[in-house]
Amino acid sequence: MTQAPNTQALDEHMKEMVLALHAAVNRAMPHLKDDPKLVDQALRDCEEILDVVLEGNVSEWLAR
Amino acid sequence: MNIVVCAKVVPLSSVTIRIDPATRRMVRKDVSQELDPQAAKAVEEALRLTEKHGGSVTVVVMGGEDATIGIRGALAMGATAAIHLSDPALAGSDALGTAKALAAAIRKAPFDLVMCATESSDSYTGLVPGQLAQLLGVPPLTFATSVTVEGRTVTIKRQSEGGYDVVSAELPLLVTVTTGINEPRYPTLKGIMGAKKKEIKRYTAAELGLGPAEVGESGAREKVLTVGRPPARPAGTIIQDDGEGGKKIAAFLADLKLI
Repeated sequence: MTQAPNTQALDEHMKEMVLALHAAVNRAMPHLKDDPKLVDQALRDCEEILDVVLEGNVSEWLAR
Repeated sequence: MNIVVCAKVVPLSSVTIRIDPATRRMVRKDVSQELDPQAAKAVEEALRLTEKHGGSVTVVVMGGEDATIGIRGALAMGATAAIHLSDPALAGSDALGTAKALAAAIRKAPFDLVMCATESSDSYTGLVPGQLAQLLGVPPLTFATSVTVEGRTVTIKRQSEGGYDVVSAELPLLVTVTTGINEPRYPTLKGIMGAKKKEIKRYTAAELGLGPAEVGESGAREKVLTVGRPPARPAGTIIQDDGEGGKKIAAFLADLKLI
């Protein structure tokens, strides 16, 4: 099944967001005990991404 | 300093890799992909060097259309630009064909340093960096656990069995980095949004001056003959300690000529 072009762009954007969240969590997890500063930063970065996703301003994401 | 990072886009680490029995190649179609975690370490090291010494980081990736997500990942980390070698004529290239395509793309712009992972985390051949250095006519400094640059001199700590060797050479050159060299940064929201504005140049095999005798299935000199699961391990030997356990273990090790 072929995706509609705008759905494909949205799909790619969401994949990038999920990969970024995944990478942030992977970076932070080994340092839960030894580097709270790094963990805090990763949590803030995850929160920032999730806030944008929850805001759901799709037209803005795709306009960039 | 213009740094070129050769990267690969591979199936997500959470994906169970399947081999197509007909082609004996990894199934990549409709499989979620990401920037190879090994290549991400080369990108990270390149970014650290340019943050210290100035310059640019260009990522070169050979792969199908779905490699774009991995390329965007490298751009979101902070790479300046990217080159995507995407052409059905390149599909099925062996390591040498891949090195030829990468070398042709790299030669299109001036470069000082080429960085690669020691090996990719899907096929693990580790052949491309050495071939690439030969084709570019630059020395390869391999297995780097650290990289420093002073003027035009690059010095690495080269991982060895007993520790490391310190190796230096003058730019231009190629460096391969090991798994332990760094922890790559992850793309932030700002990085993801910024990456959308960065240029991805695309080249076909013809634009690289490469024909079917050099790249693709027809140009490949390596052939995968068989693919199979490793043989099951034989059951281990259990020695019950009835007071003679130590002697039995010593005899077992002596049989293996380990003691």
